[in-house]
Amino acid sequence: MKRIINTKIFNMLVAGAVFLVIVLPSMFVLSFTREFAEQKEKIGFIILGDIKVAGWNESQYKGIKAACENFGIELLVRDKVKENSGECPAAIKNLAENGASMIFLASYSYSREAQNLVKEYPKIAFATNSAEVHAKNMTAYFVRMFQARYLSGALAGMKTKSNVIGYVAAMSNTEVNRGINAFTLGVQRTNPNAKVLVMWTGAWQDEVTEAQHAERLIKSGADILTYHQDEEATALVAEKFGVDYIAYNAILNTDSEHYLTSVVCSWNLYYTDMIQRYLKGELNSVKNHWLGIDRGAVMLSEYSSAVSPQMISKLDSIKQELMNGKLIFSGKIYDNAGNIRCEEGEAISDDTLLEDINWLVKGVEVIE
Amino acid sequence: MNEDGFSLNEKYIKKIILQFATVLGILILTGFSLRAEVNDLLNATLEKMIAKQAADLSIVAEEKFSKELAELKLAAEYLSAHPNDAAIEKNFLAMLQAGDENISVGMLSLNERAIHGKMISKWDFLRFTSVYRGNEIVDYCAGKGMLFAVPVMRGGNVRAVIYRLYNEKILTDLFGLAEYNSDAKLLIQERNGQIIVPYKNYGEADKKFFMNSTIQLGFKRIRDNLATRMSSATYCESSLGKFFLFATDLPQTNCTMIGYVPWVAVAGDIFRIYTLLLIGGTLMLIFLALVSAYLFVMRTKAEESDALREAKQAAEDANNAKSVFLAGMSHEIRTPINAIIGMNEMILRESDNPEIIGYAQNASAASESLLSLINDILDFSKIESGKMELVEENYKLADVIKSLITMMKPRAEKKNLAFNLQVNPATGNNLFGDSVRIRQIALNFLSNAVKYTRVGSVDFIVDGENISDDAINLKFTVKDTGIGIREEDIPKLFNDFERFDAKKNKNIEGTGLGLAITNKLVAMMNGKIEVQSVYGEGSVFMVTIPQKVIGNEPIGKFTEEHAAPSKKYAPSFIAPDAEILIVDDNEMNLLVAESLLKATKIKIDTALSGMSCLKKLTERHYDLIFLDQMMPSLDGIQTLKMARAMGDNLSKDAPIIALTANAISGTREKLIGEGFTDYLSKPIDVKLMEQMLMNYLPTEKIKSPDAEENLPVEEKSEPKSELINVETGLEYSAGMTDLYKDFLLKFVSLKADKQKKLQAAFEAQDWKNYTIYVHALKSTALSIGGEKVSAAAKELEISGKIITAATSSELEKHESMEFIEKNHAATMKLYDELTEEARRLAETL
Repeated sequence: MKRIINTKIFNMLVAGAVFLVIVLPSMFVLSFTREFAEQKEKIGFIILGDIKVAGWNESQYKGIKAACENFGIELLVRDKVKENSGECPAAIKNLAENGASMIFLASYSYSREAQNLVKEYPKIAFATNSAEVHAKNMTAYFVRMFQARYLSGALAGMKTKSNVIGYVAAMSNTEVNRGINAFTLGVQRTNPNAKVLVMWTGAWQDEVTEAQHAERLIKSGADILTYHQDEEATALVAEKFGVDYIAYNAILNTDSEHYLTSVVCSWNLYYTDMIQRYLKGELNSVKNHWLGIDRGAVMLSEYSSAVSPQMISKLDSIKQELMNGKLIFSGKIYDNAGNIRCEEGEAISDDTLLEDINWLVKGVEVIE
Repeated sequence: MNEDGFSLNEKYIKKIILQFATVLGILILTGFSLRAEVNDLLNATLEKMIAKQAADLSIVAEEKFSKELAELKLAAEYLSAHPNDAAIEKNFLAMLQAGDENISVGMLSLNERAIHGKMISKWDFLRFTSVYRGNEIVDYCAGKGMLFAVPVMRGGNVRAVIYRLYNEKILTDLFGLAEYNSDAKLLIQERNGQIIVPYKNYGEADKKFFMNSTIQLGFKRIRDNLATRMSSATYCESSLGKFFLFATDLPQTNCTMIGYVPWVAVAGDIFRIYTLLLIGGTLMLIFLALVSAYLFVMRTKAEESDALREAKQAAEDANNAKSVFLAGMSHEIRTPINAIIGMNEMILRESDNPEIIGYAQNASAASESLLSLINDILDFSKIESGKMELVEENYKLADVIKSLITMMKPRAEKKNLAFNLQVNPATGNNLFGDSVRIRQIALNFLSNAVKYTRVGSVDFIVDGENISDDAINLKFTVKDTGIGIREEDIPKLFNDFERFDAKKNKNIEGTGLGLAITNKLVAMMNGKIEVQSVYGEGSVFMVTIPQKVIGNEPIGKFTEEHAAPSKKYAPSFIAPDAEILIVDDNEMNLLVAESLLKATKIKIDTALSGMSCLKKLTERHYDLIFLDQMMPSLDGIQTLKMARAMGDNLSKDAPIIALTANAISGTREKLIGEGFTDYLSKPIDVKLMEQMLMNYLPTEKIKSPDAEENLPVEEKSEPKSELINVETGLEYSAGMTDLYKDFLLKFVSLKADKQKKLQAAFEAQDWKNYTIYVHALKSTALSIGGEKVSAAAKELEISGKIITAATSSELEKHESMEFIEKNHAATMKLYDELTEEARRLAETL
């Protein structure tokens, strides 16, 4: 009896051992290969401000987060990374160590700071929103925000009574100048007599200066304000003074009729497109990518009740022109110093628009 | 047993085959599932590989497009440098067209007006607007062809656009990419699915292929994958066969390159390798299974042999226990038997009454037969335990035959059987071998013959065949006219405890071990036994034993000079000059030995312990010493060693023979190894003891027995005595007159000393010792028949006990003391008279 049991146990052991010897290693190999295939992509995201504060920072963060979720990619965020402080290169290194295979540099000066570091990580794809620096593995990426500016300018031109429109802007660079020019061209499209007053704050985020400048613009006769800042101090001042305003980059949480609309872009679409290009291996094959109104990348948010149906109808037709390929910077264009910038039958190329707009169109006045 | 074993084995093999089949089944199942897994894995790997290759192809395509654009760009740069020169522009465009009617070129202004060539509609070529923004484009429109366009710049501004449009017809030649694998088919497609660049021999069959629903599903899967990947491939099993489908988006265009390759072309060879590996692996596994099955069988066998070994060990242990038990029992039985035989011998020697002698002879025969049974059992236990050994020595064949005749003839005659002896006179007489065992063998056959024969005769034929100069085959043939043996029973004849015709032979005595022992003894001597028998008519047993011959003295004509067994014991020799010492701690044993040897007239001295033996050895020379092996304090072996080592031992060279009650095998070697000359088993067989003495006593001291002296005259008239009751005395001496006489003489010799002690104790009023002494007197007096003295001593003992007892009252003590004082003198006087009487009686005996 004892022997029978022993024999049975022995047989079971042999069968078990054979099974284990054959099946386990193969399972291991198979699961290993699967694991190998299923390595998850990680994308790093570096931004200047706090991703929890509404405006530029939050809208960007929400956009990239939604995009990453679409593709099932892990997002590594480094926010409140100050420009020109050495924090950006540190953040890049940190992200590289954490396995990020693509990194977004979501503030204007980062690309210059990271210029040398980018070359040290040839396997990481970089994307930047500044066209000032190029590298083999870094591509500049933009939305044609100026198309929405042009549209909002058309609205402002129709809406102004004083024919003076105030524009609080951060600083004179290609991006801001391009926006001001497109806005002004839009204003002139509907109101050739209106002029745009611009004041520089000198920083992307400076609520006090922004508020002071907004007030001063109102006092200078502006009855519509808009701005190119990361946050909405200008809008608050306009609201306070009962002046119409067009917000930028955020849909404000108010039903005031002075809040005419917002110049916004779909960061979700923007980042989705970018990540898709990265995944397809096409991201860095060109210097610049520029998404426009035809793709739905930029738009005006819902108009306030102060915008009449006639105005809306006009705006819709202009928008349709743009979507059909109308070039804003084409035909005869003079700057405010009287120089001709574009001849009849010409168009300013994208490269120039991205890199080399150091002038403001005729009809823009800068208040010091 | 055998059959059982076979069926078990068959069952076992079936079980193993079943197990093997199960394991093999598991292996096959595992193999199949693994094969499917590996197949999937292989296809997945190949998909990746093909996707990678497709990606490489897309890079090649991109390069081709870049080259095309670079050419246009060069032209655009030249035109930028030479603005508004229509002639140059025309020239350049003609160059770009290269006279091919399938290529159209043109230059367009920004306000959508053709400067040269045809206008391009932005509704046909959706990407065309991008040129106006200063970008280069590659764009395709189904039915129109493939468009390459670059801007003509003026500084940072776009001034115009030049383009080159390829008709669809020539796209195959231009961009039908070299087939990277001779079995693969490639084509370029608009991203929305329209086929644009067919490979050269694109035909109905290919259309059918792309229309196949399974293939289309495969491509749909690929398109889904392309959302996030540069390229993708998938394995597709359609009704048209097995294929890998693949596709890759061409960067910066709206084109996708797609293709397919038959599965066999890619995976065939790899799969062949895999199949080879699988077959090899399977064979290895089967081999492994066979090896494990083999190991399993071996292991089971080993287990079985372990079990067998254990069983064997258990059996051996049991057998040993049995042997020990048998040895113990045989010893226990032999002791009383020997007493019986000894006493019986004395009766035979000393009785003249023919009736008593007849009874004693019957008792003797019964005892001998009982003893032989015990010896059989002992022999068997020795053989069983492998401890039986032969004691080889020179012997005379004639002596063996003589003793056999002496033993068997009377038995045969008693059953009215004719006993015929026939000895070949040429047979050598002086042989070397174990005569005791040879005698035992012959005796066994002879006694069987007598036992199983009712009417007729028993023939005993002795012969010797020369096998070499100094060896013969000693041959005994025993023929009888007995009951015979059935033919089928003959092989069982030598089995242990086997007896045939149990009913018929139930009154035949014996253990049934006789032939088994005989057979083994013959085998030990390298002899052989032949049996012929006719059932109911008789049997012939022939035993042949090789023996060495010493000298060439033939046995000669063997005369049956044997006499009928003498009614009276006669010693085989006398040795009046020889002196021996017998050492035993048991006085009775000493007395028996002395009595038995009395007829040999040897001078016998005794010692009761090892110490006194050693002492006596220094006092006198002995010719031989019998030394009991088991004694208190100094045992036989210790005594022997000390005696051998002693310097003043006068009998240093005398043979020392061990007396032992330990009859189990191995005793002999042990004792001889310890230094004994020989050993004699106890209780003593007088014949063996005499034999021993004849062997070891100096030959000059051994003389032929004197017939006259041998017959002691029995005095019928015993002197009457008042004090001694001779009957009682003889009773205590087991009826042996000699013994009685010894007792009497001993009583006389001890009297003076004992009386002195008794008197001293009486005078000193040492009642304790006095009681002990009168107690001794009571016993010794009674043992010689001195009943009166014994009774008187008993009364004194009772009084002494009362005096010494702690529970007695003073009065009782006083009375007892008075009684002793009154009767002591009278008892002493009676003691004196008894001693005188005893002395007289001893003289008359």
